[in-house]
Amino acid sequence: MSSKDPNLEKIDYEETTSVVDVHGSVRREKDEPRAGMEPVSHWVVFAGALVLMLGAGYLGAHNGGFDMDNTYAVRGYQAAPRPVGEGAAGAVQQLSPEVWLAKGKKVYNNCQACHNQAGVGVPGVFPPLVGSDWVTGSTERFAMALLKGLSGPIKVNGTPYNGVMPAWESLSDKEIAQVMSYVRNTWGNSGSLVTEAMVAAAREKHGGHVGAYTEALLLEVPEDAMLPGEAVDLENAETWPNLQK
Amino acid sequence: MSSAKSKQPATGGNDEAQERALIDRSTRMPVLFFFTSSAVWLVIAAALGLVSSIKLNVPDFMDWGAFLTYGRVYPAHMNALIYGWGIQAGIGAGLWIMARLCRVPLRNPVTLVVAGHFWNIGVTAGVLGILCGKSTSILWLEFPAFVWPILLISYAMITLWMIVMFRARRVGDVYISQWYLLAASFLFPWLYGTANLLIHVFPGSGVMAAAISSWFASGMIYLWFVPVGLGTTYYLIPKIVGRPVYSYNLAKAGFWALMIFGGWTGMQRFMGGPLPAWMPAMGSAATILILLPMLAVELNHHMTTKGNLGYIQYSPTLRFTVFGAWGFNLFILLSVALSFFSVGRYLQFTHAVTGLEMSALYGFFTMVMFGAFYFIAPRVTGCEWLTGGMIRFHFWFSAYGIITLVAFMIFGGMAQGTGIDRWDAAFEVSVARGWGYLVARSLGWGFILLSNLMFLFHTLLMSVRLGRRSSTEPTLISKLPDDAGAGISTGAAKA
Repeated sequence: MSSKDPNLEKIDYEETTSVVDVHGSVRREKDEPRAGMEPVSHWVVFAGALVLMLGAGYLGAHNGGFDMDNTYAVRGYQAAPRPVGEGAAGAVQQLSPEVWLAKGKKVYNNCQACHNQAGVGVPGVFPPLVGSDWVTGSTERFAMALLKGLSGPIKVNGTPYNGVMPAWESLSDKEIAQVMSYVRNTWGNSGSLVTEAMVAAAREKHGGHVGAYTEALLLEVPEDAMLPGEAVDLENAETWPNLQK
Repeated sequence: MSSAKSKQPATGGNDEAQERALIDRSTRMPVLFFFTSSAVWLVIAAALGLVSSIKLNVPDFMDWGAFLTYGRVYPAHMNALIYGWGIQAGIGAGLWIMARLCRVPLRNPVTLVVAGHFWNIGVTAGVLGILCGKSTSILWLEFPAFVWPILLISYAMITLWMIVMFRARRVGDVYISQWYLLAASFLFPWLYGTANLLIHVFPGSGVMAAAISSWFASGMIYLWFVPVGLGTTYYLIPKIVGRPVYSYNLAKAGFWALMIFGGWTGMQRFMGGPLPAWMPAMGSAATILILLPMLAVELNHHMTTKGNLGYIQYSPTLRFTVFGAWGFNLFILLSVALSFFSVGRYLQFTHAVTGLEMSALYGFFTMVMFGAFYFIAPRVTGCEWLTGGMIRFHFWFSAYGIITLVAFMIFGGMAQGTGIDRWDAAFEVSVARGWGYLVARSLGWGFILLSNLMFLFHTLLMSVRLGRRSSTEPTLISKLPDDAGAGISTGAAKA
């Protein structure tokens, strides 16, 4: 084929359209590709049918009846419903121990004016909570002191104190349980978690007491007296619902 | 053009070569324009990708003001990659392949270059708009709302000439690549127009906007990047191997399966979300059915190249294109896996989605486009790529970069997703689990940036005709052995 169009003779890039000048890359290349006519194997048809079945089956299983109001057709897709008390299906939100302690830290804002953010108290005036048997030991003694307050001399970590602690019975069972758990498990303290049910039991037993407790009254309670209620094991998630029973 | 009057196809070697040279020359201006500007955008996109990735590890990295915060850099990176690099590279390669297969010269290169300028102005305004905080925050449609008409109109101006060329074709048989390229010409305006109209002009509920944007993003992959990429592999692989495509019927089945199912994909991104359950289920089912075109394409490519892949060691085009074809298979398999609720429930909101998108946009499409660049640029400029060493550098850094990126994002997504799934653990746990994998992501983007700086340099040299002037030997990745069999040496020489 020969071109007579002068515009095509020299467009740019200093070239002509002469055969000799056609660039090597063009001259050496193979023919334009074309499509062959090999028959399609039966195996390909079979594999295609399998794919169709897979796709259709998937749609059949998950379409939710093509209902415009059905947004959750897939069982097991949502996280499994959290185990809660009987009859309270879904009504109570269950908390993990981690969150329980974090909430306790918020309640502790009530305490830190005297006992200090780090739980060390004020030397000679307000007793520390760090390493104190009063908080890490018997939960019953701890709950009594919190509910009704304390007054008079008391020995903490071997040091005598003499002051007044207000009663906190206006806090809810849950808040008291959370702050007790927090104090028993922070700053190096370690003790069992306190549940809402345990505080409820303490309130029932000691709620009738009038006035603040004293050291002598607390010492009447055995030092290993734990509040009744199902315990919570940090390592065993199945016990965590007990926090809010 | 006088030659258009002679209807009989050129059969003689020299006549045919001269006809090819004429066609190549007619496409030179627009093809080089789209190639060079897309290569520039690729470097910009890779640099933004690297910055946004490092920010996930070191949040105060490049803490120079609001315009470089992660929430702006990441969408700017994705949009530069899609509209700046991907679409422009696809247009450049598509125009040339279409002209070659229709055997007609491009009549109106100036219009195309003008439209190309408007496209670049639109993308620049869009990316700057995102960095200035004007992002619409809608997936892959983050450009400020005034940009989309500019892009839509300039795209229409460009593909109009694709259609004109197709109508004026001088070959009776329509080749597979032409189906794909022609389909993509119509599909982009349909997808882009529909999504923008429904989101910007006739806005409905916010939930539906999210559903539409996920449909759009998926449609862009299955109905634009995949057709353009496959149109290119269907041209380049048989061309270099020198054998006809194995089966026409298989190719046709694959094409129609993609066209039918491609538009139904996408909503599985919101599986378990506040959409009617059948919508994500439909998206998942359609994605599973994309296995059909994948099987057809893979079988066709496999049978076409069977026993002839020795050239892959020497031919840059074949090596990039075949890598891309494997990237396509990997992408489809991954997206099918993620479409199942049982897998997607762990991975849908994790890094795995980034890995999936990158396997499509880079592992498949970009690598195929590199193959097309290496094939087309010498033909339209009339000089050869400068050195094989630069191509080798480009290939290995790109390959290592994308493999690192995809692999670590998929596994990182698993670690992160199982963390998110634990309702009793803090969200922070899942973030911390993904941290180490993100280091690898930055590394991957670093490799990709490095390789594409080299590629941009090489492409710019070609566009100003500073390549090798020798017209007998192509530039190969590695030297042919002296005792190479006749089959290999002739094959490579045609690359």
